[in-house]
Amino acid sequence: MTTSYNLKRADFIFRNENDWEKILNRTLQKEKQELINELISSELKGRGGAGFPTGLKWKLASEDPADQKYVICNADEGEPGTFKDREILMKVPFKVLSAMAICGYIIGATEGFIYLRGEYKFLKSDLEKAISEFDYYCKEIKFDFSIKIFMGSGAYICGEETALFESMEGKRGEPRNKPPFPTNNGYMGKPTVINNVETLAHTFTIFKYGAKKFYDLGVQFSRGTKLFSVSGDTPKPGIYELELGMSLHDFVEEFGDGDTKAVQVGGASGFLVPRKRFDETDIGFKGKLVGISLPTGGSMMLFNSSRSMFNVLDNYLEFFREESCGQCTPCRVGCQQLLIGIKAVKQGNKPATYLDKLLKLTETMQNTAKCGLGQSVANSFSSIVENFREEMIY
Amino acid sequence: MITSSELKWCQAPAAFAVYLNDYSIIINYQNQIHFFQPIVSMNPIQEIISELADQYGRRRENLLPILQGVVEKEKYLSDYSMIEIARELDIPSAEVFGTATFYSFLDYKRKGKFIIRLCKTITCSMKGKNQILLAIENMLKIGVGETSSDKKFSLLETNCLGWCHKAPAMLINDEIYTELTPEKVREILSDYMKK
Repeated sequence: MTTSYNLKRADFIFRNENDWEKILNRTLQKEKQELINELISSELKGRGGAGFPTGLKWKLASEDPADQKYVICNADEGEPGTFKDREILMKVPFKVLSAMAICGYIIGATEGFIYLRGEYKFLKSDLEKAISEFDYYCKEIKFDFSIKIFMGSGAYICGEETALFESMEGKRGEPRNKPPFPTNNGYMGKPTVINNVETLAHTFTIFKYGAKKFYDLGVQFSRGTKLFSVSGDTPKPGIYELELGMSLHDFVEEFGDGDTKAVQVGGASGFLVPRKRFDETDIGFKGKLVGISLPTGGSMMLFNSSRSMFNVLDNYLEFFREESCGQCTPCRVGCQQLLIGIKAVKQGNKPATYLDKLLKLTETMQNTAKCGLGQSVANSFSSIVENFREEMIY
Repeated sequence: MITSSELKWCQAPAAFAVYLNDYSIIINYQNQIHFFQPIVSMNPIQEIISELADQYGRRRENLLPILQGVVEKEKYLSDYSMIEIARELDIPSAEVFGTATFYSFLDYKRKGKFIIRLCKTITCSMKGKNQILLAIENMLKIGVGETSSDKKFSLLETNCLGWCHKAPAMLINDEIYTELTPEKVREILSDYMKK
C-alpha cells in the first residue's frame, strides 16, 4: 500500500518464528553482559504502557545476589481497546517463550510464569502445547528453564505488576507500595523481571537482528516499532505494527472514517485527543521538547462526530469504579464520586462549575492514589472534560 | 481395616469415633482401635477439593488455581466449599472468602450451566451492545445478573474482553463469540439450548 503520509508500517512481531530454536541457542552462547548491553543500546521501553527501559530492568534484576529469581510474562491484557497480546500469544508464542528463557539466562532465573487473563482461557491449551514443545527443546540443549501458565480470574488491576504478584501468591490483587521494586522484591519476595508480552516479543527481534536494526526505527526517545490495536469508528479495525513517533494526524488520515472527532490514546487510562490537537500530537514516550508526545499500551480508539463524549466518559468511569481494587481511599471513593458528579451535572442537579471541583478531585487522585489505576483516572477525565465541556453540561 | 458390616455398626450411637485429618479412629467395646478412611461419608465437593490440592499443592500460592478448579466443576463457590478449601490449605476461611470475592470470575452465588458474559466497555457499547443484550434478555427471559429457572443460563455484563476490533463480543463459559448481531446471538443461544 502506498501512503503519501508519514506512517511507517513494519513487520517484525508477526514475522515467522520458525527459527526460534536457532536464535535461542545462539543467544544462550553469548555473554550475559553483552546481551544486557545490546538491550540497553536498543533503547527498548516497556510496551505495556508505562515505558520503563527493558534493558535497565533486566540489568537491575541480574545484579541482585538472590539465588531464586523469576521471569513473568504479563498477559493480563485488560486495558479497554487493547488486544495485541492475545494475537502475539496465538500467532508467535515461541518468540515470547524464547525471550523469557533468554531473560532467565541473563538474570539467573530457572522458573518463568505467564499470567494469562481469565478472559483468554481459550488460549490456554494451545499455549500449553507450545510450552511442552519448548520445555522439550530446553532439555535437549540442557538449559534449565521451565514455564508455567497462571490463570487470572477477571480482575483488571492484576495487570499492575505488584497486584499481579499478590494474585499469584493467592491473595486479593491489591497493589503493593513501591519501592521496593519488583527487580529486587517481586513474586514471593524474590527478584522478578515482569514484562509485557509485546516487550518480550521485541527482545526476541533485538536478539535476532541486533540492537541497531531496532534502534534505527522510530524517533528519539521512542525507538522501534509498536503494535497498535485500532478500534472504534474506523473502516479497518485490527492490529497494526507501526514505527513509533508518528503524528496523530497521519494516523487519523490512515485509519479514520473521514469524520473523526477525537482519538483515545492509551485506553481508558490514557488521553483523549480532540481533532484540533491531532497535528501537534505524536505517539511515543515522553521526552520530546516540542509538542505533545503520548505513550500508549497500543490502544487507539477513534470516535466520530456521532458519539457523545459524555457517554464515553461515563463508560470509562463505570469501568474504573468497578475495577478499582478498593484498597486506597482516593481511588475507591474518587471513582464513585466522579461518576455521581458528572451525572449530577448532566441532569442539572449540580451547576456546571461543579466540573471544576471534580477536576480538582482527579488531581488529588493523581497525587495520592497508590497505583497507576487511581493516578491515571485523571488522564481521561481531564482531557475529556476540558476539551468537551459543553457536552458534559448539555 | 474394618469390614462393611462393622462400618454400619460404627455409625451406631454407641461407637466412639474421632476424626483426624482424613482418617477416622474408632474404638469399639472391646477396646480395639480401628483406622479407616470414611469413603462413604466423603462429600463430592470435598473430593474435588482434595484432588485439586493434590494436583496444585497445599500452599497459599496454590489457592487461586484451586478456587478456579472448583468454580469450573461446580460453577460457583459455596460457603461450604470455601470452608473446605480453607481446611485443606490450613488457612483462615475468611482469607479464602476475601480472596475469592475479589475476582469477578470466581462466583460465590450459584450460576447456570452456561455463563454468558457480554462485554459492556466502550467499543462494544458503541457497536450495539444494548441490542444484543435485549435479544438475549428476550430469548432467555432473564435480566443481567439473573439465572434462568432451569439453571441453564446466567447472564452477566463484563468489562473489556479484548475483542474491540470485532465488537460486540461475549463469552459463554470460555468460548468467545464476536461481531455479534441480534440474529447471530439468537442462533448461538438456540444451539446452547439444545446442549
